[in-house]
Amino acid sequence: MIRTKAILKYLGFISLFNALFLCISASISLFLHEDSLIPLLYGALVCAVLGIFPQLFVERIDDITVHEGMAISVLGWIFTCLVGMIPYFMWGGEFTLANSLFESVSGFTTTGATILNNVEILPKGLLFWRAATHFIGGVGIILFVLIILPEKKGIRSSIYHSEVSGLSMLNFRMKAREIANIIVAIYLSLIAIEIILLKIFGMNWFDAVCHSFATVATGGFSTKNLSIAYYNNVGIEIVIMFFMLISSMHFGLIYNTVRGRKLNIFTSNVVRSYVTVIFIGIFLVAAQLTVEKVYGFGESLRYAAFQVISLGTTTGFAIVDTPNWPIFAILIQMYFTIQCGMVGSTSGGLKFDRIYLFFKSLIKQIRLAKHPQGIYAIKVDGTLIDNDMELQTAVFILLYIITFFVTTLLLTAMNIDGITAFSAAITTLGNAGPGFGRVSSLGNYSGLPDAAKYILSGNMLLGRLEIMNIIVFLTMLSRKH
Amino acid sequence: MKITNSLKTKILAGFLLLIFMLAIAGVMLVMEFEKVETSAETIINNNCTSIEQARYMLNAMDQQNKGLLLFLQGNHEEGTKIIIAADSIMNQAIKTASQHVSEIDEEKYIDKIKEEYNKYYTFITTLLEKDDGVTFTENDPIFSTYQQLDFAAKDAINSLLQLNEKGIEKQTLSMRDNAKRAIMPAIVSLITAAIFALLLHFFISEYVINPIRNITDAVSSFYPEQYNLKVTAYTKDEIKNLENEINNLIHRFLHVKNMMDGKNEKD
Repeated sequence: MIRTKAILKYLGFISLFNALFLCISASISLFLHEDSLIPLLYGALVCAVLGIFPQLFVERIDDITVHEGMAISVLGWIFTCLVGMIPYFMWGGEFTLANSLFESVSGFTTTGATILNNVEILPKGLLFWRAATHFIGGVGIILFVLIILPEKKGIRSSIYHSEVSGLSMLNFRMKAREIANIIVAIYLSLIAIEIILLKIFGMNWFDAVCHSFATVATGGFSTKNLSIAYYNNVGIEIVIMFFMLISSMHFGLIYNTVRGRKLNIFTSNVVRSYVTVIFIGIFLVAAQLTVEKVYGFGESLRYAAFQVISLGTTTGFAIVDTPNWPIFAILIQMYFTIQCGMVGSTSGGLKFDRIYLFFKSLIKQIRLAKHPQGIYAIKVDGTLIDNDMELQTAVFILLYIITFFVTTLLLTAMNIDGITAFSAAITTLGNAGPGFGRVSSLGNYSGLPDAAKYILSGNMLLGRLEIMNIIVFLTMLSRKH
Repeated sequence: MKITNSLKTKILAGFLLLIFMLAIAGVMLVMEFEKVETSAETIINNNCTSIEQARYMLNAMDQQNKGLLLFLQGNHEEGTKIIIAADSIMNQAIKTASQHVSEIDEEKYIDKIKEEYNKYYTFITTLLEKDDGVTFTENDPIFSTYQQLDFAAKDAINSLLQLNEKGIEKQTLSMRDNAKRAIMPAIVSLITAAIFALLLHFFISEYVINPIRNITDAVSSFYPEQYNLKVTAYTKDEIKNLENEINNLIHRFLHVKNMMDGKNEKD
């Protein structure tokens, strides 16, 4: 049985966490005498009030069930996205109700798709809040809350297991309660290092902080209309490419690399395959751009590398607009918005590990078809994959395809052209951000109808929660307890 | 029972939070509406006044052209009179415009008007002072000079006019945004207050109504051999106290009953 008061109590913690970041954003507006002070401050006030209220009434609850953990995870994300839109909606400008919700969901789910035609007109406080939604969403608001909660029996693992997929647990060779700490430590370390490097290469502190939040969270919100193209700085591009790639790798493997353990990002077969696929993609796109004389070889390589890594890691930064690129190059990039990064990272999407596992499973099925009496096992980095995991992966891939197909259909029913609808559906589900057509790298989603924005907002949440969690949650609600 | 566990304190704290939030919303509403008022005042007191004065200036220059025309036609007295009167209007308009500056660099625009007008007026007065009268045709260099000075002065005045018209547009947009921002706290407060009310209803049901119902059911189903009420209020508040006291009452009754049973047996 799900205890509503338990869920309300932990949603309250989440609300207080959001209030903290809203206060920081409001402080920036206060310091700079901006007109976003009141919207941010009021947003913080509402979050604080809604957060404190359950703490007054509900006593300490130490025995959270798995079902309650799942409900906290799903509702926590939805609630966070809803309160996150308050400052946007109150500030006005381009932020209508649909636009505010879209921008908030895009921030927290680290999609990075924007409805803004002019980002630079936003006050710094609001820009910081926008970046902070990536920071919070990147590692997961739930994980942040887990860090601050006391270690009581059942709380962490109940909530944690609904936030992190089973596949990502493979490379965490430690107890579940340490994993949240490791993820957050790696996350914060990467952000700190990137801020310093971006500052060295020429960004100011504010932009360095905002872009670091967006890079490590693989979000993609930039403080500039032209995204990274604004800087026209190869040093900055290399730093961002490096951190996008690192952030799309399993954090457990990064931790192992730092600790000098045997299974790390250099020895993992999955990472090797992932990086190889990325480099093949870069080569193919660069070759196509050179052959078609879109750019010279050097420029082709530079643009191809950045765009492929950006989309493949679901970040969404851009240094060039791509709608006029040859169709082959566009299709290669579309593949990467489906594949996306690795499990255990901040990337969204289908995840490379699932595709890796799918192909291994396919090979196993082919072998079984040839030798029905044979016994074949799948191993990923030395870990035996059981049939349940194989089935889960196959079901997830199928569910993923069905979801983006349905979304594409709904968008095309609203008179949106095919390329735009398809790419918007796939990039929002994969939390990648920019697509093609009207929603290209340096474009935005403002031209889409409001109904499309609501559907895509739902799509982004489905992607972030890996679809299954929401379905399970809805079935839980429909049961009579 | 600690004060922080008291139901009364919790409910009171809940209402105080709600009142606090609504009060802050009210303050924010007032602050934003004050901005709207400031924008409106700026428009009315400064921008509109500057536009009005710019139109007076243009009118004054037209009057001077008319006066000059009369002078050239031979009506010296009438022409001079009109020119002097128009000059007076012009100077007054420039002075008034200088007192209602609201846009960035507006003083520079007014200084430019003064400079161009002075050149223009000096040229006209030079023409008026010529003893042998003045006549000039279209190809005359004096006519060309006059035209240039006339256009330059009017351009400067039109620039001031356009500056203030853009200023009005900017202020109007700012008013629209400020008005929307003023309403937003109210809308968000209403929605939040509604959610808050639902939450309060839930908590009161969970922590007040349901425990009272449970105790009521337990009391009505109580039988003498049952040592305690079969209900547990798990919060440390007034409801728990009620449960404890009812259990104490039961124990006292049972104690008295046992004593009386013991007495009867002896008898």
